[in-house]
Amino acid sequence: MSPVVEFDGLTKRFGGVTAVDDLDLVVESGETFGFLGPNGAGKSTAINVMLDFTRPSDGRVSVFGRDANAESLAVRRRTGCLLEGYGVYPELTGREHVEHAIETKDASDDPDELLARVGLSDAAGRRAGGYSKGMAQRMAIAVALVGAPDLLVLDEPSTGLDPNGARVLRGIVEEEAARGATVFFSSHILEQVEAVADRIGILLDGSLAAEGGVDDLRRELGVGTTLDVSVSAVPGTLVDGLCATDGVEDVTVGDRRLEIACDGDGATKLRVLNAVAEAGVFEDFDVREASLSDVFSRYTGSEERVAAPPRAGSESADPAGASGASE
Amino acid sequence: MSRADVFRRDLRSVYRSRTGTAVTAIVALTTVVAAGLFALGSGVQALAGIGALLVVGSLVALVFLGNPKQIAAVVVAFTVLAVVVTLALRDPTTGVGARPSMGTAVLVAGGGLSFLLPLVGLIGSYAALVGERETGSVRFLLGLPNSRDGAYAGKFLARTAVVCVPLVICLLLTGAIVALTFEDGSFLATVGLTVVSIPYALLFVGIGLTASAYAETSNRAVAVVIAVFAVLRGGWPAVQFLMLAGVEDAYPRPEWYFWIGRLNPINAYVKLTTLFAEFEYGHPLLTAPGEIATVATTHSFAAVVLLAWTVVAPLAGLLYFRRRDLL
Repeated sequence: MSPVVEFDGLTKRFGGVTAVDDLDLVVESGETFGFLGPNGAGKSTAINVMLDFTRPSDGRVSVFGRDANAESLAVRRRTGCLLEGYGVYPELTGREHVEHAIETKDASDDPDELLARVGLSDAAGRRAGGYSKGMAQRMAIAVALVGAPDLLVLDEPSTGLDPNGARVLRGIVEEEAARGATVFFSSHILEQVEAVADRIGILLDGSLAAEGGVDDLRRELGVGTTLDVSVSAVPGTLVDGLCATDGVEDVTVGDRRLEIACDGDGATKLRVLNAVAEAGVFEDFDVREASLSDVFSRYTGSEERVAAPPRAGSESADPAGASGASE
Repeated sequence: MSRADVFRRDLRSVYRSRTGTAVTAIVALTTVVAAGLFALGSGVQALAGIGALLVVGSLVALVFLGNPKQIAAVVVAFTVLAVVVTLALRDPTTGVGARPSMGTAVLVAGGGLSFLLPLVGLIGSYAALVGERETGSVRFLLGLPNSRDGAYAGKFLARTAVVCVPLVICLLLTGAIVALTFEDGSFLATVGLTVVSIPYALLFVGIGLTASAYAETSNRAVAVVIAVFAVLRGGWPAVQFLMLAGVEDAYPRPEWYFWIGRLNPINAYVKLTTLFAEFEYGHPLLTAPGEIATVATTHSFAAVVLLAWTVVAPLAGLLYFRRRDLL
């Protein structure tokens, strides 16, 4: 394996604002890399430097071993990109967009084949100005695939896509990865990235907060399912009991509600809900897929949290012990 | 060849939008329609009035019209109306001997173009680059392996074609009308007028493109081109007049007055149009040098000035576009 994308101390400042701060990151050949971060973390700025839309304030980016800015043309010959904020030429049809990309890349693709692959055959002859956001996004994916690029850069590629479109996108990413392409996939939605990525990097405030394989990161960050339970009251004993429950990683106490982060196991959820029901405070509940914001808030510690104590230490807070003493 | 790809794509977009038709309409009204009206009638003042109303009416119509076909239809309708009015107002007592002169042709077409070609060139190019940044299609343009130089050159060539193709066709048609119906009318002289009009048009396409490369929004680009037009058209003579305020005897104009005035590309162009007809009392748009004999008032100086502007105007934008952040 050799590195395809290398960020080497990349810093980008706009006026007084630092969008990307000393970013170091390596993406290996053939890898599908998930570039995660909330909106405004600097993902698009990093990608814009990578494709020479923006010049670095400091540091450098190289792609295929070439300087991403000085030798951008050579980089883009081997790259297909779908960028956030992408706009179409309203007067050109979808097919003309793809044909233009084929001509520019001196590729030999069949435009109709590419359009069929993204499910846009029916609208291929219509002007792109009349496309919905999702159709424009499908067209953009077709354009990115032109010339079977060695590197695919997808910045928030599922923007505007309906669930069906998102499934098509995932299939395409998997096919391209299977073909041997390196995929750089940026998103603020964890599920999309973890569905396709081999490795994930999390960008926060312009620098890399975490990096690793999907499973490692999941474990490290305690990302699982969140149970959002409405309760009539929050007895301290219940919270302590929940913290001690197997599979529960974290309990957040709100106003008449509990957020319980746990692994996605059905038995764990059942144990949690039973515990709440037994305490006699259960009103309603909701299951949420772990969102990246949960991860980030954990990282930045912006929410009041009761951390699950380690098993060994659970005795000190054992509600049974406390009640036993009073007897 | 990315330049050629960008050129073809951009030309297609422009011709399917309003810009291409609007530019063609304005050029046609200034040249072939105006000459045609003079061929039909000979009352110079009445014709000037009709022509001016026609141009203003068409320009107002262009503001409200949506698609190219509607624009073309309105321009044709106005032309027919003007022809009818001209025929109705024609003085039946004037015979063949009162045919308009070649001087009138150069005065009308050259004078009209000296005013309208800047507008047409600027309108045709101010949005070329900044517009793509605003809509996001620049991510398509430069996500593909197009170099910045190639993209800039392709845009310049496309916008040049948008202005110059109708310009050349209309002036050649004007030449035919002039040769057939005007007194001492010369097709060759009209070809000469065409040759000097091309760099004049290019120079304003170049200024518009430079504004487009520089500006952050298309509103800003519009402000820049309006300012440029105001400076060349009004500010330049204003400075000359202000400087004259310190001179005891303003007549005849001092030599420096011509050195400043003839550096203005509009004056350089008007001076060059006087090559193609006899002007007994000088061209009404130029200050007569009287006894002053200086290099500044020669045709060669005007040619050098015009070509220098034509080269510098687009290059300034290219140099800026090469190193700026696009996103």
